[in-house]
Amino acid sequence: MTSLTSRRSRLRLAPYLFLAPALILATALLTVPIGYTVWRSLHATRITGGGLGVAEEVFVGIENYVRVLGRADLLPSFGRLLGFAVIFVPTAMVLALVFALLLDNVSSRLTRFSRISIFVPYAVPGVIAALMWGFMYLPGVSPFHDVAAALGLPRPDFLGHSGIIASIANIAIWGAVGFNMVILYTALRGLPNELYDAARIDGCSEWQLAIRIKVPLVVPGLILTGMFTVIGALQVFSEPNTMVTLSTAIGSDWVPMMVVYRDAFITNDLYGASALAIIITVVTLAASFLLLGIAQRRAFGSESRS
Amino acid sequence: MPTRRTRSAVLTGALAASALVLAGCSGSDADEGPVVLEYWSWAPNIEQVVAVWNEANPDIQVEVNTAVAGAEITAKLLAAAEAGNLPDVSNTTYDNLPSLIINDIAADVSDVMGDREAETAGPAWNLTTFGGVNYAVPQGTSPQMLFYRTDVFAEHGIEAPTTWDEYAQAARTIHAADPDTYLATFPANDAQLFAALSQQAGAQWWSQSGDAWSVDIAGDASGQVADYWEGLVDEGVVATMKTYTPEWQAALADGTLVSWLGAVWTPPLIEQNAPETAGLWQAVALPQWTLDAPAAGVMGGSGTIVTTQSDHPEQAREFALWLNTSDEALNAYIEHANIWPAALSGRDLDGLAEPPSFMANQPDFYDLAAQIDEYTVEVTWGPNVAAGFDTFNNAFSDAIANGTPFRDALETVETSVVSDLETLGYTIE
Repeated sequence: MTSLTSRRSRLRLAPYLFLAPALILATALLTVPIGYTVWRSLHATRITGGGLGVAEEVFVGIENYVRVLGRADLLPSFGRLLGFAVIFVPTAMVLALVFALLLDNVSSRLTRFSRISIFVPYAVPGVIAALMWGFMYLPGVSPFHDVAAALGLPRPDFLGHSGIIASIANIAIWGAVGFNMVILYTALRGLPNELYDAARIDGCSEWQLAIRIKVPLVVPGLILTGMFTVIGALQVFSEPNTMVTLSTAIGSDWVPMMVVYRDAFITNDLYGASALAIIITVVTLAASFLLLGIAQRRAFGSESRS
Repeated sequence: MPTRRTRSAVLTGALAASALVLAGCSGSDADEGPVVLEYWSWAPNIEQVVAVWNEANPDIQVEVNTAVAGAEITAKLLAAAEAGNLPDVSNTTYDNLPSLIINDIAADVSDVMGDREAETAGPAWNLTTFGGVNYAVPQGTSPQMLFYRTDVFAEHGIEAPTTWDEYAQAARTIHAADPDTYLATFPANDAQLFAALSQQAGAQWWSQSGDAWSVDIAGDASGQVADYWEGLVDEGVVATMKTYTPEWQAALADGTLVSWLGAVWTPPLIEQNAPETAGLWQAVALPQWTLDAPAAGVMGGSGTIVTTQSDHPEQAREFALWLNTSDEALNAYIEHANIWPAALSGRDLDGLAEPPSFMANQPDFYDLAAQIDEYTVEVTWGPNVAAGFDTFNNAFSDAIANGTPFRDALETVETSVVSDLETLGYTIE
């Protein structure tokens, strides 16, 4: 009898024991820092005493949020982020899909080389990529300017106000395509060959094969990479931040993440930075869940019904 | 570049001098082992200056941490203050000092500095004293100067400009003669320079009277400077590249820019970017608005603070004082970091009898620096300079890109600085 109850209580404990490591890690690494940031975002320093005075930390409620959201530079920074995402996400996705389909279709010794050379930019750190491209954009050292001059064309203005978003998006695309391509390519390689044989016997051209058979079958891969790309776009920071010194068109408030960085480390307003960080996190999570929801209803929803 | 031999000769001299100091102070109690002070600085070769102290003071050993850049030191100190692990001593720029005071990081150092007013350069004294309390031992001052390429000026038959009108004329002449060459750039990212030029014109961006602050960034004096530069930018006779960027470095080296509104610390920076132009540069006083009443602004400079969390404040103050006022430390500083000391005694040191090596053609370089110090205006930095300068950079980048009035950009900066101060809880007049 006693042994039975103890076994039962042990059984009741067991799931929690199994969950414990994950729960502890999640608490320590996720909940506590986020909680601390929320706490920070509700406080601020206020001056007491005359003259220079002394700063004291006080509870200010949602004042930081009101202040941050009311700032004139916030909306334009989200606007630039949107402009960047509109260029970056579709281009990075389409290029990745095209490269994956081409690599899947062409079976030659060049495949391996092409695959690696498309993937390599992903391994180049964002800061290095931004510096490298930055110098290629910079008037005076830009090879594109030399080419344009040789052809008698006007010099492209990569770093001016009109071109800067596309220039930064180009750097990000260059880095992101390889990663997306590898995921899609792996998904394509996993498809059974019988499908292709069947399609070919039915008179399917290679083009139709790609559009009608391959693409629909790698939709889960497309959703996954799409998610990564959207999140990557919302988090863009190192490319524009590295190029600040190269372009007059990039200020310290170019995208929301740069505003957070600026507030925390340049103008020393950790409290405002925390409030903005929370706002951006909420926006990113909302955008991700929304996209995931839509995509799942479209793709996986039909799958589970069948 | 100083040769290795001259460097080591100076160090040996300094070591010998400090050995004498060591022989002099024998009464210290060495029962509890040496006191260890942590010191943050971004100055190049600072380890060699500190080594002189460590050699002479076995009881008070100083450990230097140079992993902090001048621009980030405030953020790092604020974080360290919160974590409770502030260093004992740290360098800071003058414009960041007020923010370190209000965050209770910079401690009162009046007991070593209080009676040194007569021995300290005026501009540096003003920048480190608030409400009669000394919060830092000033290291140097940075008299504003105009550096120009003598060869290019001679080629176009231009004299060094003494007024801003002549400066504008020189900009036109040089650009007209060669469309690829500019007298100068108006850098949107250099709020420090614009602030200094405004100070020269009579602006006090921050000032304090009683318990209230007043902010005058968009006033007439700054507006005059803004209009002047806006005119030159609109005419297209000055460039608009940002300073301290690769494009700007290239422009200095290849002669696209033929002058620089800098300060006493400028020569090593030109040397770094355009070493082959050695001997072609000349420093003169800034162009003036009115020649009868010369003035200059404050362009950088730094001092040493003792932090409120130091366990050995007395020793820390002693070290901070030694670092910036003793002959042996200043000799090492002058040798390795090219400073213009705030301690007046330091200005007579042998190292300053000669101009910096890059300016070897101008033997009176440091005499000029001392002269300019005489008419450098009194400046008070406010508690939110970093935020103000950041807004300046963005507002002026936009103004240049969109061709909007510079005065509007100044209004933007002033509005932002005032609302920031009000949010912090200051009374604004």
